[in-house]
Amino acid sequence: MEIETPSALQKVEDNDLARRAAEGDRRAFDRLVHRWRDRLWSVASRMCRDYDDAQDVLVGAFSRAYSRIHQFRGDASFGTWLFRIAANECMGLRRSELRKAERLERETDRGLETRELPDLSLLPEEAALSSDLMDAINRAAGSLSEPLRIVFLLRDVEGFSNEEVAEILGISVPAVKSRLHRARAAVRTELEHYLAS
Amino acid sequence: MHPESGEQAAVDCGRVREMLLEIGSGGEAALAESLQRHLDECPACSREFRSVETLVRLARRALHTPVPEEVCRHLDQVLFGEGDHGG
Repeated sequence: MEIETPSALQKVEDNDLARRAAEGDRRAFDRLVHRWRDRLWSVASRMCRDYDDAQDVLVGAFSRAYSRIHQFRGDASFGTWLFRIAANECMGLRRSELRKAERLERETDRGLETRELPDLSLLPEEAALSSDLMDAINRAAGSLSEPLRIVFLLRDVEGFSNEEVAEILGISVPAVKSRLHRARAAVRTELEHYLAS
Repeated sequence: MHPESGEQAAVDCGRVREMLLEIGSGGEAALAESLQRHLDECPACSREFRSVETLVRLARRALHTPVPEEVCRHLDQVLFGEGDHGG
């Protein structure tokens, strides 16, 4: 089974739109906004939790991206560049909380490696489609520490590569992989009882 | 390392564990034939692979949230001076 991921074609198209926006084409930037706003909101609303804060992050990120679009060189994808701006917006509000969460994470996530994780592929089809399960995934993602949650959202929900997530968050690729592994394990553990239903 | 996989498969188990961390970003599309063969032969790795694929698929369905219309209007207002001028 293959999971849909952002295509190389989209990267080319985004970069072309960004180039046109930098030349003053407002519609090109509007097109980029339409392409990326839902994905940015999905992450911002789950990182900020507060509706107004999430709106500030979304609006702030697009505003900064628009005013700096001429600085976008296309080395990274537009999405990576935009999410990096958004991460800075978000972390500007919450940097001290993140540091606290990282300390807590180191203390509480030990022992995950040895835990037997549930086989989610055994989920009955009706359970996999149920709103209860969707709610449970929401709760499980929401209960992750912030450093794990942001990696889980960027990697598994938004489909950025490990390298792109590292660039967005300004951390190493091994750190991304470590956090992704721990986030997935924690979410899977939370979903365990659905296998029996 | 999965005990039932034997010594020869242990290297492949390690590679599969690395591949698990590429699922969802397009990395799995480049899954080598030898790794696919290993998944066919190693129940533990196959179980892990299928579980992570399922998790990613469910997470995308559950956690993708369209931006509310009122936020769109506010965004358009800020960026382009359009949208709901009353809000």
